[in-house]
Amino acid sequence: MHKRMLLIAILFVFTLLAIVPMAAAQDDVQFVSFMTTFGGSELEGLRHSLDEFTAQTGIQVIIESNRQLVPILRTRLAGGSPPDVALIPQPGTLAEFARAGYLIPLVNADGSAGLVDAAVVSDNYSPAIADLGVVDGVTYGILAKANSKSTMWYSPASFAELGVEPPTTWDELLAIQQAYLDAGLTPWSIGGSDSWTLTDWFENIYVRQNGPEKYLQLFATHEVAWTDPSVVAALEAFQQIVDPADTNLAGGVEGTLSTDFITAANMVFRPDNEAEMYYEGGFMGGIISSNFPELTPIDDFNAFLFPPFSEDMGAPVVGGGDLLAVFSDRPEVAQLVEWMASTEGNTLWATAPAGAVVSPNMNVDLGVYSPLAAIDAGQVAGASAFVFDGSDLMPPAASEGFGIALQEFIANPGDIESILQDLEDTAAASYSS
Amino acid sequence: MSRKNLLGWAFVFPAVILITAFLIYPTIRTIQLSFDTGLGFTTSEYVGLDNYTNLFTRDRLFFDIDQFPPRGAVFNTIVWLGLFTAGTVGIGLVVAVLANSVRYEVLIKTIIFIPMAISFTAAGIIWRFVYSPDEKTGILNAILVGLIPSTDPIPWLGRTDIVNVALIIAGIWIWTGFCMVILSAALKGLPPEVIEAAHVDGANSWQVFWSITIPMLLPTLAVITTTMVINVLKAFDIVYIMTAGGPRGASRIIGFTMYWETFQNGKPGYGSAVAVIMLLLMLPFVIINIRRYRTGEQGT
Repeated sequence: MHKRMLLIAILFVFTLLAIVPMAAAQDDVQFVSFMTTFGGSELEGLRHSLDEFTAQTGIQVIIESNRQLVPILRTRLAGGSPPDVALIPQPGTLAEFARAGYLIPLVNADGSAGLVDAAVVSDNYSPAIADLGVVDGVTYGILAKANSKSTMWYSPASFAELGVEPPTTWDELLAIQQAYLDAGLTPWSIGGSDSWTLTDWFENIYVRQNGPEKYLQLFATHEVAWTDPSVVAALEAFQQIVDPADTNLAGGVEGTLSTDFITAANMVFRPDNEAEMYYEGGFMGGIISSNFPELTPIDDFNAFLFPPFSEDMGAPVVGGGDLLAVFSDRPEVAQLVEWMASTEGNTLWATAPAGAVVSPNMNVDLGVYSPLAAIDAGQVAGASAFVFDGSDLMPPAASEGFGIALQEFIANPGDIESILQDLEDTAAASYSS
Repeated sequence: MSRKNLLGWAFVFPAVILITAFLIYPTIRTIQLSFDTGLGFTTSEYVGLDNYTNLFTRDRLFFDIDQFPPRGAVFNTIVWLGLFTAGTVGIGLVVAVLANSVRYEVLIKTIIFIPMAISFTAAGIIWRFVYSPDEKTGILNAILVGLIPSTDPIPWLGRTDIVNVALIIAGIWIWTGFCMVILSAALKGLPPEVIEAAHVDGANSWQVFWSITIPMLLPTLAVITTTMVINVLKAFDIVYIMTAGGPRGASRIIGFTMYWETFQNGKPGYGSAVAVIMLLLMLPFVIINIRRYRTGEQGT
């Protein structure tokens, strides 16, 4: 008898459990589904901002997190059930989805409101950043977070000893290099066994000499061939840094090509340093900090913007980031997009206790960042132009050839012509397939 | 008679439906997509043999014979076929034979078999830790740096010349237990009289192993070898979890290329062409295995 009572009680509880959420769901709560690659603390950072959105609007944001976002998104799109919004890490994929008709226009080509008013974008982002979400004139995406890969790291004490200031032009950089050589010191350390450090060097030089448009024609569409004079000129500029390797690079050719990017940075900042300057992205700040806890950021190691070649081309920032793309046009989705673009939403995200990001929103006060993140944030938000890492814009086979070609260039800087011809052959084959 | 026929059809009907829906239709559809761009997973634009010719003439990450040794997913798969099959079957056989004659047989076999009980995803993650370039995380580099303090840790999964062997070792670790168990069971099923007779005739253990044990295990060895070959041809999980085909495509294998081109690069037609090639490569081994099962059934 007791058993039967117990059974009925259990059934009752289960029925209640089933009914209560149903009742809640009917209670006019609005949901927006949000797909991202973020996990761990990155996700906590995003939640920190979205929780406030939910508190203010009552709209629940359901985050689906998956490292393999693009494959899953493609399957969901083919099946007709995409999420409401997604953070897409590649601009090429955004453009592809936009042209396939999957995305909701945020702002139309004539500047009229799509899902949101044009001001939502123009009030919060510099034209350089806003441009990244534009496909064929229509705004389909908003750069939600970004990082700079245009930071040159140096030791302020070493600069002071040499009597130089951070350079603001390429020629000033070469002058500092010469001053180090004259002082009998090795100016550079490059982690060339990770060939992407070399491709990053080249990308920064190329975009500074030729501007973002031609940069995309070289990397993304291959309208500019690798044998183009502009490529030769960029490599010749890079040659000013790496040749002769014996005096300019720590470890010479062999040392450079067998050193990874972290060791190369360590060579500049360890006590008996073997080199004075190091170029790689803003993320190096965190790596240097954790490798050398005794060093104080800004005072003991600092970064300057990869210097420009000419005033009219300026110093575009090369970097990476995630673009917010929208798949459904409900009003609550529009509210979420407005929040993701807002200064308040971005400031919360940039100041999250864990997983804080560098926000491309130009109204986020640089003072909210840690000193290291502020370097990155200042470069991103103030960029005259922002381009994604070129090697990520290339088909994988061409990207591989690009890295190998630059390693060969380090070894044989005199063979620019034949190296570029080989690379062009590889590229020509992989872009067309 | 006709009623008996009808009953027969009624019995196979559910199986026919299932096989048609989940095997025959998808195969035909994949072949169809392989002659198409396949954009959006629909037949959108017929491209003839373009996908196949591009795979073999333009895709350096799939098939590259311009340099020596040749590279690409096809040749990585060949390296896998050689090393992985030899490793799993060879080590499995050695362990099965050696364990057969010691007291702690169950313990040894359990330890070797444990990886089979872990999901392949988890096994991949475990090996990613083992190979970590940070010597505080990666046990291999910890040992290396511990023994020879002057060396730098080796990024096992980051170097194009090491990555494939590193992945294959992880694969062998997972699958050796399976081969060992099957071979061990076969070993126990061998008639002891033959082996005793050989010993009585003065054969030493080595001779018994090569002239008696191996020949009698041959049918089993053939079955697990073909099973391992099929395993390699369809392998995907280890590469996906540990390297995602990197660095720079150097550890791609055929199964991985199919997934990556279809879902990551959004070219279902191209990926389907890879799938069809996989199917053609696998077919002979599947047929061999089925034949062996059939003759086995007739024998009993």
